[in-house]
Amino acid sequence: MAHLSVNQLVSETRKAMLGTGYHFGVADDIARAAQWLSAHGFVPSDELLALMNADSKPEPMRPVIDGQHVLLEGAVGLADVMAGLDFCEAFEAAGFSLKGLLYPNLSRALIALRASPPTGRFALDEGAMLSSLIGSAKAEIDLVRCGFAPDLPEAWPARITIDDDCYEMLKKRAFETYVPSSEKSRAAGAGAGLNDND
Amino acid sequence: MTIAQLRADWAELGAKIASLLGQDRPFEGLMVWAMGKGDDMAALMASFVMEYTGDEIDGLEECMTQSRDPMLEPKMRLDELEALIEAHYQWALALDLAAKPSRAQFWYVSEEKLEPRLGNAYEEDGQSREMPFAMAYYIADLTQAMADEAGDMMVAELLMKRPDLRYIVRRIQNVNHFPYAEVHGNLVGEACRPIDLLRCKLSFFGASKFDPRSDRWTRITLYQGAPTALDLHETGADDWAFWVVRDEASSDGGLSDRG
Repeated sequence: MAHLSVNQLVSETRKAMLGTGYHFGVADDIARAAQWLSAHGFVPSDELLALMNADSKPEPMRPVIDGQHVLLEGAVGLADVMAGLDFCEAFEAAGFSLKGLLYPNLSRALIALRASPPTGRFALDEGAMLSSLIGSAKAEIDLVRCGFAPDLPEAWPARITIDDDCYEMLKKRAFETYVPSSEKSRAAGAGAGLNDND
Repeated sequence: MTIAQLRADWAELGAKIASLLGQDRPFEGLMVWAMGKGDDMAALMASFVMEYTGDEIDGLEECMTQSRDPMLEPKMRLDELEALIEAHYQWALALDLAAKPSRAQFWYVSEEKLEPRLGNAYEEDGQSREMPFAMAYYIADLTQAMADEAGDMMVAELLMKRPDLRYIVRRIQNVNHFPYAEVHGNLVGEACRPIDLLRCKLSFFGASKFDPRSDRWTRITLYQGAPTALDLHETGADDWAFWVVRDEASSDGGLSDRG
């Protein structure tokens, strides 16, 4: 097990998603979803690992709009969930159904972050918070529109614990976004030609 | 030139204060006068005026963090988005993006030190891994994409077609709420000097005595001369950050006392 600060998790996740092939804006949202889950005491190691081992599939599927209801069905990835949420907000959908979630917990986190102030959009049909489903592998979810659904944690934890396999893969993928040094970069970089004792 | 101008303006300041003392809203009058003298005098005067009303500004420190996460507004129409670009990104629209110097540099994370670095786009490898700081170019990509669509299309539809634009769209939408959120300069242009950004950022940490070693790094001082617990009972301990000229006849000979 590796111990990280929440900021480290967010930073490593964002870079790892870029290394996996996601666009900047999508990688940002996935990192924030991981942060939300860890703040609720659940580090999504398995889902992050699966995400990094899968094709990035950054092009989203088009949600189906049935009256006032938005539906996503099939192999629903995270970019698909983001697009579905965009459509829900744009068309002021009364409901949002997702079937076949590939990453159920990260998906719920994405929804919860959108459902939080100031937008306030969706809650579970029973009126429960999305955080009540954290840890469940259930791949379907039905949401209804509500006036206000804050679902943020009361406080961010200082440290989180993450599986070694996941952390190693995060670092490996993040590493793919770094640029190796060269003689030229060393000669032109900050501090070139000087040392800290000058 | 700037220092010389400040000195000249400074010479007028005493008379200006005297003339304002008997009037309503003297601070406002002082700031209007300072702004008329230029950015440097305005910044200097703002720092003085704020210090004079310490009780009113002490709490502002808590406001220097931003807790609101950047939010996407998928319902926004493209013509609204275009209006935001016009309102907030004139500095980017004015650039000649086809000119080689406009994209002469790229920012990246160094594998060796895991720190941000600036590379020469035409002489060094690694631009494909650059950090997302080429705002003017992203704006151009977005503008091009919007040109092919109807003005009443919603952002959600555009991002369905072009998910790579999610980052810049959200950024533009949030700059509308936070006018100081964006550096109004081309960070990948040949003329970009990281030292300017460094000085701004470091000042938030309380850095002082900037000692630039090149246009890419600077030495700074943090808390030099700050009072220890034993010093706090002394008169003026709160003013340690502001060094004053002392009587030449003083025992330490001059400039090292604090007021």
